[in-house]
Amino acid sequence: MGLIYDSGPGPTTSIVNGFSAGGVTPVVLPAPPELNLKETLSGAVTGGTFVTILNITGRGQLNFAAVKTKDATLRTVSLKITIDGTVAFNAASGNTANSDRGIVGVGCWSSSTSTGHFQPEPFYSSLKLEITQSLSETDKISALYNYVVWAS
Amino acid sequence: MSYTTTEVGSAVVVELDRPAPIVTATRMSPQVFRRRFSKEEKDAIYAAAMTQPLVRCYLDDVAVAEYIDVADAYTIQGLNDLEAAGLIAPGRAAEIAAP
Repeated sequence: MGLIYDSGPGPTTSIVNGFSAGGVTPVVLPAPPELNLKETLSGAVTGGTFVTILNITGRGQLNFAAVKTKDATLRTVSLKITIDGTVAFNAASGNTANSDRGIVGVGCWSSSTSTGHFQPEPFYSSLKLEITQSLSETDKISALYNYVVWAS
Repeated sequence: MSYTTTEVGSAVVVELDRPAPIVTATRMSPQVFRRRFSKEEKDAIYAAAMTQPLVRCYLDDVAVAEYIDVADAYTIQGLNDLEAAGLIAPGRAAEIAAP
């Protein structure tokens, strides 16, 4: 597995990628354990209100983060990544009525070749991952992520 | 919402406790899917595609697909059609569609 790039000393304050501008049509995303990702369901979501999936106080590295749909109902999905207290990525997708579609904040994935890449984003004091969607539902979206925590 | 709190060294990890069930991966790239067919099977299928529009259509569908899901009903039906037409041996449809 390759890396897109080493993001340097960080902390990252802004992630600009193919989805960051918002409104981009969601793409097919991996089904864990593909790409060695962990997947966590959203639980109950009030449309447009972010649910915290992961909140780390400490040091480490985020390798991949995405949000995807879990069924074929028309909706948008949103992902917010806060690194060391700064919102580095906050984007909503365009509409999709397909399952397993979403947007990627950190890393990349090609469904046509079933290959992906990690994008190491270090955090030095905290990391927070939040997701939401346009509808009020339970467990119809999920977060995909991979991270490491450093000892000190 | 239920969260799990884990202390790792000096770090504290708070994570939503709703792990998604791990599913058997049934999706693959068209290239990987095509490699499940033997040379002899490909020879028979491509020969049939010269005269049978539905076989040609199946090949085109695979070629333009973003991914192939071997658990998808359309994929399974296509494999069963190839088997029924004698282009792959009996039992091969199930083998090719195995996750």
